[in-house]
Amino acid sequence: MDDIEHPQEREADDFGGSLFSSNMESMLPNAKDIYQKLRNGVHITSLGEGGALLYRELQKMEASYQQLFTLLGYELVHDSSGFFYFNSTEERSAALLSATKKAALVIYTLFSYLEDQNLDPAYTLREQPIAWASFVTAQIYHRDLYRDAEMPDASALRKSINWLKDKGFCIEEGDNIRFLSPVERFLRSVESWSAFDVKPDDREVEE
Amino acid sequence: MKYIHQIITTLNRYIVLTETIREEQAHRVFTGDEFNRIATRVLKNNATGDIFKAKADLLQAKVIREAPRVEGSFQLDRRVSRFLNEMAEQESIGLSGNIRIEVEQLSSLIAQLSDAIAGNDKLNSDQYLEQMDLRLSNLQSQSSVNEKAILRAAEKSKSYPPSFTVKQRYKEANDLWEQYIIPMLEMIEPQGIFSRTLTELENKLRGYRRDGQLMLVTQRETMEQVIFRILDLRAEMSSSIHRSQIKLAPLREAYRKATRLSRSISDALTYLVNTRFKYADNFPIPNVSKRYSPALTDGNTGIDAYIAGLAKYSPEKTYLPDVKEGERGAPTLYPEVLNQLKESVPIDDTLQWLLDNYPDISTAYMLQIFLRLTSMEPQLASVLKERKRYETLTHIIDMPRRELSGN
Repeated sequence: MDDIEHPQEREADDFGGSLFSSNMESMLPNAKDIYQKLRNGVHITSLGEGGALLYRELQKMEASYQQLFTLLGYELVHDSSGFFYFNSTEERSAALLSATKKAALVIYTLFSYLEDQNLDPAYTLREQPIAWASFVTAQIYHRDLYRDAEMPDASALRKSINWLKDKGFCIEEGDNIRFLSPVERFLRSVESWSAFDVKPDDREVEE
Repeated sequence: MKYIHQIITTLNRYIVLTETIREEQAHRVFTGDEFNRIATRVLKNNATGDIFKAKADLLQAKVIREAPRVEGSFQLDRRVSRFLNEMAEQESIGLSGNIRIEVEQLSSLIAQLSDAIAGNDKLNSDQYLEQMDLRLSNLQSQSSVNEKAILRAAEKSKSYPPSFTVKQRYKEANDLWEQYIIPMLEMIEPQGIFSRTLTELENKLRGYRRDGQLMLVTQRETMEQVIFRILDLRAEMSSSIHRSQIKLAPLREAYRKATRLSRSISDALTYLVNTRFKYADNFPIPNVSKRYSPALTDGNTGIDAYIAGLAKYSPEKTYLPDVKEGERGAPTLYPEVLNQLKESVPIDDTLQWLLDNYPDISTAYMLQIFLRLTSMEPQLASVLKERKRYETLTHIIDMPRRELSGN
């Protein structure tokens, strides 16, 4: 009997090890919560709302989660700046695109506003709590852009900030808003973007 | 001596005040009010008496003097201000230009020294050697002073409060990089002026020593010293530059990154202005995902069921055909073949015989056996016959038939 059982155990080990053992419940207790969050485009950091627990679990059981989510058809990314998210290759809906674009507008205009105020914008954005008033002033500063983006007033701005908050890009501390490490994704995308100045033309030809 | 003693004591006591005056009012006439303002700021205890005492002491020791013509105005004593300037220079970075000039003068000294030696002019050659020694030690001290200045600048960049812009914060580091590190790197590379001059000097001196052209003992000693200095300096200069480079590189990178980021962001905003928000399809945004397809977790038990299924999952087994002990395809060995063949000689078609008896072995191996049988066995004799076609497992071979017979 022993001879027959032994190879089976080995196979299970080779395939996924701990993930598929019977005590899955106790090993990945927050799997469902994590899955639902990531699936909605939330970035899980150790600082986000209720994120500490999830982040720690993801970090501890990273290999198991990687496999689980790969099997479910997602790509789990562990960014070196310290956050997890799902990298999706799916077509994004127009609403999602527009929300992301509005959030990017908020971040970029805030950046340029901070710069004009003679503050170190990258440092402030990454490390410092930023007063809500700064966002409003940045909106007034760039009011043409905001009007064009159909965000003419503070409530539209609020909506965008809430979106960023939902996705784990920032948290709110009283009257201040503190950006978390996932904001790097915005900064990185704009940084690499300018290297391809020709891109807009290329795209137009293709479409 | 008494005056020297007095001025140094006074300077020692009021060095911060004097230094501030030098920085803010260098070579300028300043009024009593201005002096008071600086003194109030620098001397922490604000007692008026202290300020008057300081002024009186400084005047007494002639660190500051009353300015001519304008009553109640003062100026820093010229000698004191020159002294402070020179001392302060020790703390600031020498330009790469200074080093270049030293090196160039060194190379003109080489020419002068060879002239002096050729003319057997002992006095001058002595002098030139000493000057070389001096310049080399100058270079040495400059390089270490510069390195310290760079370390200080690097520390300073890090300790600025966040209210400083990136450009202010890293400006000094960036300037040092461009004005010192890059020209110095050019100088110390093998074809650069620094390395070339030192090598030339070293070769010349070694030549003189070999030819015994420097007769005086003191000259020989100085020369040894110069050679050692050259060796030291060469090693030290390049390692000092590299150390500074390592210190400055991350700061410079931060500077460039920050400027790049702010440029990209302003580019992106300009793009938005030009294309309108609605049509700005290339506005740089990260890919934030959201799945609309039904999730496994939509049902309450979905993910559990799925994972439970996975838990039972095991990959399909692949079965390899069993091999029984006796049937194992043992490799065909040449001696076996030879023995079997010997029993059936003479054979009129060797390859066909091999094909009939050993159908499983590969063509290459079979040909190898064939060759050994027909040409390398002393006990067998082979005869070449007409061409024939053979079919092996993998190939069709066209070659002469061979007969084999025992000797």
